Amino acid sequence: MFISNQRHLRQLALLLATLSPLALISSSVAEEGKTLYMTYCSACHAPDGKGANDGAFPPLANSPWLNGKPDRSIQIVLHGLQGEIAVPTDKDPNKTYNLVMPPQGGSLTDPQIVAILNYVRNSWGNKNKAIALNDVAKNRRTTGARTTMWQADELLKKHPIEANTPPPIKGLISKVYHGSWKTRPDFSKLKPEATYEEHKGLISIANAGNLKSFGMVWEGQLPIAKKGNYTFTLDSDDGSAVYLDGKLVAEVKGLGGMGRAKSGKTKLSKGLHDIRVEYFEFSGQEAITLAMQGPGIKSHLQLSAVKPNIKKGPRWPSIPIDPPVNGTAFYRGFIDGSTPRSIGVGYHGGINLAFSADNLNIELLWQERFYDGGHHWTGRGQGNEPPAGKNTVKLTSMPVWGTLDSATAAWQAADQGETKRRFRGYQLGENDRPTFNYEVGSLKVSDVSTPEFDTKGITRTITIDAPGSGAPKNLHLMICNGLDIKAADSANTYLLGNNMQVEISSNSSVPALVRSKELILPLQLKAGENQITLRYQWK
Amino acid sequence: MRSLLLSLALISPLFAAPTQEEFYLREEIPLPKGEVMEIGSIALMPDKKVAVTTRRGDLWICEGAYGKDLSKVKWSVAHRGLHEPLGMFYQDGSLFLTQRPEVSKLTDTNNDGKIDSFETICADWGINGDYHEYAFGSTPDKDGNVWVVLCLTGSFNANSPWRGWCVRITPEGEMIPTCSGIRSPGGIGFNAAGDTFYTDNQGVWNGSSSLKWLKPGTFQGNPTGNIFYPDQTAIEPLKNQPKDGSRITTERERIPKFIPPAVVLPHGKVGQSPTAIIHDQTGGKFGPFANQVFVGEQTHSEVQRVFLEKVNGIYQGAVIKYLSGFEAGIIPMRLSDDGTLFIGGSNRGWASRGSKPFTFERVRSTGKTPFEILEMRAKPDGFELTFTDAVDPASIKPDSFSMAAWTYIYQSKYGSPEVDQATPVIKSATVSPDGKSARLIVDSLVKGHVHHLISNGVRSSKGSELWHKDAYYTLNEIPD
Repeated sequence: MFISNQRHLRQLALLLATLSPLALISSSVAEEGKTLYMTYCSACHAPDGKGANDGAFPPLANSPWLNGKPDRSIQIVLHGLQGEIAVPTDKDPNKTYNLVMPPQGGSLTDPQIVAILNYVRNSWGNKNKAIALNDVAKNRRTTGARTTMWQADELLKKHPIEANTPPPIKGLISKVYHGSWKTRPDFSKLKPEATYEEHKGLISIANAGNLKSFGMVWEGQLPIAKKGNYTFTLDSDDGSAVYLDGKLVAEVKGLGGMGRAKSGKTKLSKGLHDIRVEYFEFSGQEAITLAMQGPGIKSHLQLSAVKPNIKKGPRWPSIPIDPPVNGTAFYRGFIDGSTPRSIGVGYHGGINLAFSADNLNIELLWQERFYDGGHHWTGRGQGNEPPAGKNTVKLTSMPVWGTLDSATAAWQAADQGETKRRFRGYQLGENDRPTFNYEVGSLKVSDVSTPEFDTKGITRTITIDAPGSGAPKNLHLMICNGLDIKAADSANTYLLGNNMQVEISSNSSVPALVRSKELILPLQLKAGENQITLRYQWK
Repeated sequence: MRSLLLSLALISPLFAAPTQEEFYLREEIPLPKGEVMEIGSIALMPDKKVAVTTRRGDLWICEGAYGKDLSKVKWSVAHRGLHEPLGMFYQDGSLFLTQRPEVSKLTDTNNDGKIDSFETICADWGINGDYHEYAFGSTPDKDGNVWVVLCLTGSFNANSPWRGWCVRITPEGEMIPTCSGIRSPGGIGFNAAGDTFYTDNQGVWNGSSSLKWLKPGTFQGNPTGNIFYPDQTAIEPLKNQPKDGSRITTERERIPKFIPPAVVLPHGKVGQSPTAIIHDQTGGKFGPFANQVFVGEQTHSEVQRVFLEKVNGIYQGAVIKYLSGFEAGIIPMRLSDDGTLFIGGSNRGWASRGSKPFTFERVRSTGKTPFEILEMRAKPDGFELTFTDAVDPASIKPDSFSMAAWTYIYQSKYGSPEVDQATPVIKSATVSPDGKSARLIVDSLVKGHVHHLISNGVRSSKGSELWHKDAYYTLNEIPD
């Protein structure tokens, strides 16, 4: 009996050893994890876990994404992750990345994933419980059908990063008041309808339930580890105030939505301090956030259940592209507002255009700064970037050569046979100004613009070479679509929306047709050279 | 006796492991100050000029890149504002570029050093604004065609016309759809015989990265782009679609047009992101590997060497590691006839072991021949190795070698573990009379598997061990 108990005890001890947190990843398994990590992961996350290329890729060391419950890490390994993700680093607590981690679930086996995660979750300052084969298998079962990579927000909804522990505010209680106020009431004169313990130690309006208009007061004790100046940042919908040791530190006054954040500073000694937060909601949406910054706090400490919208730095650095003096700048990338094959042209002097090689038209005109390359020239550069300047006018958003069967018929874009569109490139002339060349069926077109700095606009000359056999019948040119069109006082001049006008002169067309948000020029081309001049001016 | 020899070998300083510096001189070419030179393509021009384009869209001309004193290189910018060119060559006074949206001809018509004519040769494929819709273009083939491989949208989908295809662009600007089945290419080029290859990266339907032969009309393995078969007439659509979770060898039986990767570049072991493809046309000026193929590797900042042979009408062969230590992730490579290898690279968006954000480098042979496996040929009952130097006959014995074999799951999931492991046994190893080749008789070759040969015990007649001991042979076909 005694012996048998001994044996049981020994078995129990063994069992405990295998379950106990850190231990107990045997050195050979850790070694295997390291080898696998070096083979498959270190190119991006770096051998020291700090992110390759001096942190240009996300670190794993001290990453809140990796530490805590293992499911979040397992899911990222299994299915990958793409898009913007905030990962605090030693240098920048508000650092964000916008890259792609490809899914590894198809190429790594469960034991490999276990080995890698146990290595990274217990290296470079990370300390976590060992995960087991079953943790990975369970995750594979629950998301086995998934074929897309995670986005950070979506993953956080399922596997949130564990809240600050211990609770940031000790002994926090909340009181709920019924009533309707347009300014913060004197709560000392009101009677609460209910009182709650807030075990998480976070300011939360969850206990107000479905109330439409109400007030809440929270009281607790805020532990301060280091003496110094602390900043409290409060934001709310509607009003709120935060007191430390009875002294008002920050107040969001009156009615209004989030985004009216107020900050206040106060000196605090080491130890516990009384904190009191008052809040009222009049109507519509409701929310409150509170955060503190100060000595020894990395970035900020969240004191509310809802994450404060602490201002992030720019998502990418600014890399301005400016035309050289008396020259022209070009940008071929994904210019927002035009098509993927658009060509940005910045004339020195602050007039710019985007020519779409897909739709064969100047689709955008804008003034002042030409373009910023920071978006496309950082990381992988996904997404469109709008022009950098101002007064942008979008002239058209469709292929502009086409046919109309009648004045009321739908627009038919030229795209095949006799009217197939073909972009042919561009030649640079004086001051590197481009002449765009393209074909519409048998028509050969050249298209050149000259900026007019005095009158703020451009003069654009479209020269159409039609073959002897004549041009396709019924051909039209869409001058503008999508803006309100009005005839201006002077002849052949039209107002395009609020701040642009165009004057049309041509020996090869009849007067333009004004339809609902469309300005269309019916062409009457003769064999040989035809010319259309369009003078665009900002008003 | 044997243990005595072994311990002698261990302590002997005479036979230090070979290093790259003995055989190749790698030098960084100074770049223009203050410029971000994330090089995406390189073209060799007359008068020893070298043109490079950057991912940002700049075109630069470098003079002095062949010179003795690299501190004297001169750079001039020929244009700014191109659309991510990933392929460039010089022909008859013009530079031909494969840009993201088009193949274009760029000319400096007034010889002032600046490009002033941008002629669009062909823009018939689709782009929709997704950053991953890359286009990699070749130098011209013998008919003057530029081959372009079109990455899938986001590397998963075919949301724009001809995504997942290889197309040929004729000098007249006609686009000829050539192969479906592409996922995410990293480079395109030719072998010495003039056949076209591209590198495709590990991901969906690619268990590992590999070097693939773009034989016109074939299917390369990723079915996503197959939706475009009806938009052309030259190639008949596949009668069977691939089965998810199968093996390539199995699916080849069902899909005759399915051409297996010529050489698998085992993921993690050999590299993670293969890129440029060139072959050694220098006839010995760049070491002993005349006519072999070199493949760039972005993540590991390396160059790998590939020996190719045709068995039963298709290409297969071995990859062996080659050059390493580059400063950033390799994207383009060009080898000049005089034996200067130019490589350019960047690690923006995709990390690399080389830790500089971008680089431009050249490599030349020191004239010393490394002791290496030159060729590894499949035989009905094993392999034949040839070496760059005579071997020590005593070192050619089964003990000097070991072998492992595996394949990958052919699946719609991203990548694959190594599966179906086998351990072929080397039964005998015999040396040829000239001492420069060895014949291995191997029990249980596995069709379709990567055969990893480790030649730890082989020594040259001068006592040197192999510079690289691992060779990975993709045995698509076992010769009769």
